Parts: sequence; structure tokens; C-alpha cells
Amino acid sequence: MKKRLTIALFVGIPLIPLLTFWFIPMIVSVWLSSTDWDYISPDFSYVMLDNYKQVLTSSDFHQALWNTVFFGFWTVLPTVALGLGLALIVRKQMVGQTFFKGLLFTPWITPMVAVSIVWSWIYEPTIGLFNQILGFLHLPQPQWLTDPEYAMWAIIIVTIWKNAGWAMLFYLDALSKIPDELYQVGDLEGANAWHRLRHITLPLISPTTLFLVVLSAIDSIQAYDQIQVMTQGGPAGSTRTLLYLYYQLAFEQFNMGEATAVATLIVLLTALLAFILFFVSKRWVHY
Amino acid sequence: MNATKIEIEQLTKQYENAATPVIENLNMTIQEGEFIVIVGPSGCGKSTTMRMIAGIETITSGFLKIDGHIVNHLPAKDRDIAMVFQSYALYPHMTVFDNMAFGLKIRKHKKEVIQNKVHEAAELLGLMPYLKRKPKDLSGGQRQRVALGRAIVRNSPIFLMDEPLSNLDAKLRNQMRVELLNLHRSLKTTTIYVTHDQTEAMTMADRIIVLKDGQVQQIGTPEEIYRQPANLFVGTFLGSPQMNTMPITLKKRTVYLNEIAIAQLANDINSGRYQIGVRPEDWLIVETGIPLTITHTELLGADLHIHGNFEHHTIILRCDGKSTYTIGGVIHIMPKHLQLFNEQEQNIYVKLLGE
Ligand SMILES: Nc1ncnc2c1ncn2[C@@H]1O[C@H](COP(=O)(O)OP(=O)(O)OP(=O)(O)O)[C@@H](O)[C@H]1O
Ligand SMILES: [Mg+2]
Repeated sequence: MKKRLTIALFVGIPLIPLLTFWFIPMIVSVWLSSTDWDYISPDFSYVMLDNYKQVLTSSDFHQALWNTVFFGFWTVLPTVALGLGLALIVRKQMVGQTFFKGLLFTPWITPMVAVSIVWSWIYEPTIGLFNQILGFLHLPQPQWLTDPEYAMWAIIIVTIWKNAGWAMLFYLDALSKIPDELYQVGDLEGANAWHRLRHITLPLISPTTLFLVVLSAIDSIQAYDQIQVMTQGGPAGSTRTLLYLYYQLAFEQFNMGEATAVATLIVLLTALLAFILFFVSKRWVHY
Repeated sequence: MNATKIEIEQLTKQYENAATPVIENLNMTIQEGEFIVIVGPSGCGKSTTMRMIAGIETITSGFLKIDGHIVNHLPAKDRDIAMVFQSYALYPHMTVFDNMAFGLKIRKHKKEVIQNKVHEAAELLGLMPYLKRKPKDLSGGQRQRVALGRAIVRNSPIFLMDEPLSNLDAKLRNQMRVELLNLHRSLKTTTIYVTHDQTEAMTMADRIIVLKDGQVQQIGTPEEIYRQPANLFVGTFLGSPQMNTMPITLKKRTVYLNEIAIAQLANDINSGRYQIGVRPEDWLIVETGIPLTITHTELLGADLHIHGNFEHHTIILRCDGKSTYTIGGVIHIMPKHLQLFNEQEQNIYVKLLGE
């Protein structure tokens, strides 16, 4: 009897915040997605799946879905690759290692809002640092944040810049756990630098890679701060991701029904992604 | 495939953070096709020496020559040396087959060739049932054999083995010892083999190198090492049970142990204090000699080890397993052969009268 009480306590107490801040909002959100509530008035009516029909056929949604996939792909892969590259370089050098580690990690601990504000100055077309450098190198100087061709890339660059150091830190730890002898055997067996990377390093750090891919993929779906500060989803919706679309529907257009429908779709998308990664990872992750 | 000669001249290794060198002025020449066994206490630098030869440890000073060429700075991958690591160093993410095939795959051998070689080695090592397993699903002894297999398939002219059988049970170890010797006889690979096992050292080696504190104590055939140890350390290091050592006084060619005359030398040696070493099998049981009080006996099948005390000396002798002795009884013994060590613990190589 006493044991049961203990179990109930230990399971029950952590469940309270989970219920309040996660389960209940989620259920309410799914329920809202079947209504036409306008966020302000006390009354609403049920529209069943109309919100989903509306959303799934709208061109805004299609554009946002594409933007999300595009943004995810071009932030996750470069972040992870750059993180590994930096880790491999930083590991080799002896002097100033701690300094470089610290330097590369600072963007991660700086709030995204602050980072975004600084970068919006850097992106300033005429006097911004970025275009100054490009001009110096005689390269084209685009209107970074106002040209639909470039705005998404601007957001992507900031996101990679912020997260690469974080990925590097995880990779440094993973690399340090590979015994030297495995490389020595490789040397004896005749492995060159490519063989070492392909057959020793990459397989042995694959659990870290999976971890980083999952986390940065989720992070990319939840990207909001940098879009809000730098472009507000524009120009012409070119930086509007699904999450930003949700925000605009909910808090700019007060269309709670459609907004929560988008939110539900985001959850489904995340679940699908996790599912795919889980199965694909079995082929290349070695624990 | 041609076997290869290895010459080591004044080889020294000092780790950056260490006060004294791990290996100091090592000299040796290993002939083509020779089977060399390195023995020595733990931490004396056996593995370090091998790793320098393999090229995975830098050389502080001195020369390493392979087939007459100095290779101090030749990268490991260009030395074509196969090595079994003391710690196995298997790839945890590869199956047994892939671990063994790794070097061949990298060197772009044909698929069928790789398959044949790996299967051949796996057959030899009794690893066929495990080819698809990962190292974590193997026992220590099985892992060790995979490490051995990975080196065997390479067919390199130089083969380095760092305690390759240490983790096997006695039966498998004997079996593997024979297999390795057969392999060596058929391939004539120049081999360096580290072991703590007396039997392996004595039976496998063309020559044994005894190392201590990074310095060569003696290089010689197993018989030379056993019968004519260069110094007290070598004498006591090889041989089981250990050589009996005790301080004696030498007066006019007569060896006195606590006032008892126990032997007459055939050589003229200055009188004085020395140490003698007598192997357990070199004692004769006689009518009058050293009176030994038996403390206990150990029957090891064919042999019987008798442990006894004479004053404060402890003496072990080996005799026929069929004889029996009562504990507490007294027997008289005399050496029929002994080593005489001077103050520097060097052997002076004496013979007994009538030997
Ligand atoms: N990276 C290192 N840095 C400093 N000292 C080292 C290093 N590697 C080995 N040593 C030292 O070098 C000495 C020789 O080591 P080595 O591994 O060659 O011994 P060994 O003869 O193979 O011993 P064992 O029989 O236990 O395998 C040891 O005292 C060890 O502590
Ligand atoms: Mg060793």
C-alpha cells in the first residue's frame, strides 16, 4: 500500500507540469482546430475538418511547407557538417584550443533575438559588414533581407552560424572517445585520411550525428526568433515557415481554427520526421 | 613473398613527460625469417619497441632499418607490417569478417581473394561460426583470435605479435601455438613475438630477447638463455619454478654455503663472496650435503616440486613425480650444475669439477 503511494507520488508530481503545459494545451489545440473561434469573442461554432481543408488547399500553406523543408534541409546538414569540420580542426591544434572552443560556442549561448538584431545590421545592403566584404571581393551585393531570392538564405546563414559551435562541442566529445589504437590499426592496415574518416571516424561518431540531426531538425521546425526579428516572414512570404504561418494566422489574423489546424499538422510532420529518422538511422548508426 | 631483415641501432624512446627513457640504446639484428620472442617484466618497454618498429610510435633517437633502409620516418602504412595489438584494437562497428578484411579491402584486393583469405584464417583460428558477429558479442579469447586473424590475412613480410595468446585457455593456447609455428614455417615471415608465457618463449623462439627497464639483458637461443643466463636477472626471470639463488663464499675453488662445502669449481676464480643460481632440476639427492627440511611438496603430474628450508634459505627442487617424501623430513642435496654471479650480478660462467 505504502509502495503504491510512493509510486503514485513519484510519477504523479512530474506529471502535473506535463499535463498542464503539454497534454492539456495539445488537446485543447486539436479541439480548437475543429472550431472557427476568432480568439476574442466568447462564442464559436464547430466546422469539423473545414479548417484542415482550407489550410491544406491554400497556397500560403504550400509555400510555408516548402519553406520549412528547404530551411530544415539547408540548416541541418550544414550545421552538422560544419560542426564536425570545426571539431576535426579544433582537435588537431594544441595551443588555444580552449579559446577557440569558447569562441565558437558563444553564438549558441547568445539569445537568438540579440543575434538576429546584430545580423540584421550585418545584412544591411549598403553599409553592412557582409556586403562590404562581398564588394571588396568584387562579388554581387544582394539586398539580403528584402529580396525574396536571398531572404531565406540570410535566415539560414544566421541559424547555421549560431548552431555550428554547439554541434562542434558534441562532436569534440565524441571524437575524444575514439581510442587512438583504432587509428593506429588503420595506419598499419594502410588507411589514408579518407579511409580513416569514412571507415573509422564517421561510423564511430554516428550516434552523435543522429542525435544532432534530430535536435537540429526539431530546432529548425521551431525556428521563430530570427524570422520575427529579421524578415517577419517576408518578403512575399519567402521566409514564412509553418510555425511562422501559425503565428500569423493566430495572432495577426486571429483565425484560431486554421492556426491550430496548422499546429496539428506541424506535430504530425515532426512525428513523421522522427519516424523516418528512426528507421533510416538503423542502417548507418552504430552503437 | 620475401622475408625481411630488421636492424635496430641505438634505438631510444623517451616520452615527452617522462624523466627517463622507456627504451635506451637498444641494439639488435633480426634475420630474415627469424622468430624472435621478447620477454621481460611488465612495463619494460616490449610494446613500445614493437610500436616503434610498426611506425605508430615516434623514435626519439637511433635507427630502425628494414632491409637495409632507414625507415625512422616512413609512415606506418608504407612499412607493410602486420601487428596484433595487446589490446586487440578491434573495430566495434564492424563484424568479425569486416574486421579481418579491413586491410585487404583498403588495399583494394578482389572480393573473392578477400573472402578466401578471411575464411582460411577464420578456419585456422576456429572463428568460422562468429564471422557475422560484432566484437562486443565475443568472448575475450575470441576477440584476441580476431585480432590475430586480421594480422594473418595481410601476408606481410613482418609480423609483430604483442601477447597474442594471453587470453586463451591452456588447451587452445597450445593448439594456437602449434598453428602459429606451422604458419611461420610455411610463410617464413620475420616475426617478433611478445609473451609472458615461459612455454611460448622457450618453444617458439629462434632467439629470445630479454628486456629489463628498456635495456637488453641478453639475446640468445632459448637454450643459451636458459643454460647460460648472462646475469642474475635473466637467470631468475626464465624458468619455472624459479632458479634458486643464494649467497656463498668461494675459497680456493670450493663453494661454501653456510660453512658446508657444496661444490668444487673446475675454473680458477678469485676467492670471495658471490651468489650462485641453481635450477630446481640441477639438484642431486645425496647421502651428505645440504640438509633440507621439507616444508611442502607439489605434484604436477610428471614432476614433483619439493620446497624446503636450510637455515634461512628456501630451496625448491624438482624430481620425479613417482617419488614420495614426508613433510618435515630431511633430505640431503648437492648442486650438479650452477651459475656463479659476481657483485655486479653478471654470470662468470663456471663449470663444476667433473661436469
Ligand atoms: N604514452 C605514454 N606516455 C608516457 N609513458 C608511457 C606511454 N606509453 C607507455 N609508457 C610507459 O612506457 C613503459 C613501457 O610500456 P610498454 O607498454 O612498452 O610496456 P610492456 O613491456 O609492453 O609491458 P606489458 O608487459 O605490461 O605489456 C611503461 O612504464 C609505461 O608506463
Ligand atoms: Mg605490452
